[in-house]
Amino acid sequence: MLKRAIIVGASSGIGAALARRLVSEGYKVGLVARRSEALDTLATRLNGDGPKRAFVCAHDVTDVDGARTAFEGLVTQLDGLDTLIYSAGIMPAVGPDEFDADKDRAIVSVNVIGAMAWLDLGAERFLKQGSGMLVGIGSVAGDRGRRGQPAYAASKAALHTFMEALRNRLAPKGVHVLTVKPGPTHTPMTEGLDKLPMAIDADQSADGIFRAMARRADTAYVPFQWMPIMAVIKSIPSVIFRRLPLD
Amino acid sequence: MSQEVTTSLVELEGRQGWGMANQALCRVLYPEHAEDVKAAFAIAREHGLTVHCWGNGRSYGDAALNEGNLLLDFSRMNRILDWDKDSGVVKAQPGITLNKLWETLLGDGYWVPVVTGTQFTTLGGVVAANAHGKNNHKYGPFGDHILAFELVSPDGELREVTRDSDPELFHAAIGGFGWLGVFVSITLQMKKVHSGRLKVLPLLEEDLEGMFRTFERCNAEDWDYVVGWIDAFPGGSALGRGQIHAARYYEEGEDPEGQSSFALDRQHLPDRFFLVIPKAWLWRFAKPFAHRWGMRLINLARFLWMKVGDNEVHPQEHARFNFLLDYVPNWKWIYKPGGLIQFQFFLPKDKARGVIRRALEMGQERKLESWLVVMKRHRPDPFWLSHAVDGYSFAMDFPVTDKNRQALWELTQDYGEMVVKAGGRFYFAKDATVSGNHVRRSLGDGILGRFFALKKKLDPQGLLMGSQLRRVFGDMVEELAAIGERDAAAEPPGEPTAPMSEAEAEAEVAGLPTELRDTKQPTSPTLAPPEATAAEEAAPSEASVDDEASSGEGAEDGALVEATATSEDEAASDEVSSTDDKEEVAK
Repeated sequence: MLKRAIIVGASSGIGAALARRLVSEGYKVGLVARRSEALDTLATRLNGDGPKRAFVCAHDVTDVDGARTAFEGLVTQLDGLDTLIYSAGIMPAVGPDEFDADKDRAIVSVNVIGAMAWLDLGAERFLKQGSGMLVGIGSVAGDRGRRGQPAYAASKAALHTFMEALRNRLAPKGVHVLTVKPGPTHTPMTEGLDKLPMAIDADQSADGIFRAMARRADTAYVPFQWMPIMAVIKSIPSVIFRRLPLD
Repeated sequence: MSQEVTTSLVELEGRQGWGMANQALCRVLYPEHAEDVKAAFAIAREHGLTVHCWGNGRSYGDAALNEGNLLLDFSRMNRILDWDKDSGVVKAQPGITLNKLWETLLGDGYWVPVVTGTQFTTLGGVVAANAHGKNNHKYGPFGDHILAFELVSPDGELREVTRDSDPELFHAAIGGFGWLGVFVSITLQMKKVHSGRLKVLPLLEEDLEGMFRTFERCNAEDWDYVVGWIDAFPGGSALGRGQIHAARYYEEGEDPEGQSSFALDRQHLPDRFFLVIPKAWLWRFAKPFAHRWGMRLINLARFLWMKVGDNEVHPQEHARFNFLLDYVPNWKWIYKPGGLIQFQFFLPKDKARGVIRRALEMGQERKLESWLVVMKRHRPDPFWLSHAVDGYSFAMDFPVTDKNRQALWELTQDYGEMVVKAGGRFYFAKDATVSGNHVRRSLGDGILGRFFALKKKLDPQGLLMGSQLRRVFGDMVEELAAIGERDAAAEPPGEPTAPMSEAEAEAEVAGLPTELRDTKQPTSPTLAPPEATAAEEAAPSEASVDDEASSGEGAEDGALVEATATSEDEAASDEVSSTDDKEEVAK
């Protein structure tokens, strides 16, 4: 009767916070990340002394060919699947005059290609079972092309669009697709960044995401205050937007 | 029988436990012969999969699921192979439902000796679960009435097993949940009855103490069936109030309508409520009450209805008395979208009062009262993984929602701990939550070791494994098998030790909170055996709701394995009935 979720990118940040939150809400979780030590530590904490609630799988999301094996192994351990959350993401520092294709490719590999590989696997399964929820952790950064992080913003925009298309495909089949757009969040990924307006911590973000899952939202800004802010920002004409002091 | 089977792996297909709270995608095969079962093992080996069985999908939780792996759906092995009406011995395939069994044989004056609360369980399912009925205290579990079975195990052998030919396998495979082998035929001793009706006595009780007192009284007075319904909502002096239904078979010549009452139209459940409302609609009327306060109201209304009702002995048809879960079609849909779980535990009689009282209080304290509670009296039996003890079972239905999921899970874990400490047991056919730790402490390493050592012998590659076995025993299987092998090497073979001895139960209960150490013995004042007169009219009882489940089937069309099968020996020539026209062989 416990629900079953896979969280890709669960070793730290929002992914780890979501794992803690979901276990407290009656889920078994399959944790995926590169760093097995971090996963093991988290799983040990989540399992406590009782029946096993967290299962781990060390996997690099850039290894697209290995995704199916990792996915199926976790589904068997969880004995099914109700929710797949793709939370893996990277945002390497990019200098104002830096144009590094290798860095951009790395970002797209993790934030987009890895996401598509895992979300496709989830979609395929949920289509067969006629139920399930796909959750993609995007970003407010994906709503506009700010000058500071071109590849990161583009990767999140790609994820948003991919999720929307999945939603349009799967909604009639009973599968829910949720696009989450967190604002700045204190996580290992954002460590060292100076300006994090209205930043919240990962646990607060996980709370917001869980609430969005519970109300089966299509798109959720976390915290919700970002929704009106981004509505305004998105409506700013490009010619003006590029002159604003937004990095 | 010879059969040629070619196969390729079939697509995943969604299946769910009857309570709708457990779902899985499985690769479903539809065996028609023992050879098909052997072929399924070959497929499993080739693709690195496991095999489990599905009868008619009546198990509440995950007992009949096998996520990502092979599931043998027995809806096409549903025939009676042999029937001797003189001796009352029937041999049938495992996929036949109890419904088809009794409908076919009642005309000859026989009833199924033990039936579940729904008639849509399958013979294979109830044997695999060693299911019980409302008569467990007197007639034991289903396994007590099995004369023989044929079992195919992954080692490739088809074994014909009787109580004497292989007592170990007989007592391990019955109630072994398909983890040792797959039944392909079952021989059952039916119960001779002299009427299609029972004498039924409803007894209303104002509190839990009254329920226990009456249960013991009915037990002492040798009633054939005894079942109790409890309203889980009221506290204080009304805690545990409810109603008991006791019933007896008619003696030969006692019922003037004996012969005519065998007619199926007399047995069939009414399809309308108050002669007007189709029962198929009833769940829609109940749906607006599908919340805590609504169910409090319904339970109260039910109690009051019984209080003003006629609590006299009356005749009632076997089917109408036994299959109360079938009275309202699709009633489980009121639990949508999250579904329901049932948590049923079994307690020694001297511990039952305290634990059940505390269980009701805990539900109320946590605002997680069960919407439907059923209580029964049980006796121990010799089957290895038996759930029954000399005492009581307490079955609670709970709705599952996103809001209560974790709290409900914690409640069941806390119940589990109480049950283990009281020397109680659990029942896999109902289960969706019990932990391996609790089962292990409940049954003990001795009997579990012996069971899994036997499994290792019959199924060395561990092919027989379903969702429930993975969830409950998981990594413990190898360890338990090693314990069993070690014990076998150390001791000469003999009867298996009791899963938990009285002394062990006593030792465990020493750790139980004082309020749960129940030392009060039931008082059993004599109740004059009620008599039914010929003039008494059959009044359908609203009364108790039984529960029960076992692996079931769900005749879905379409085979998941592509197989071609040619059969030289389609079926026993003396086949008595076929439940449904056969669909095309698993292609």
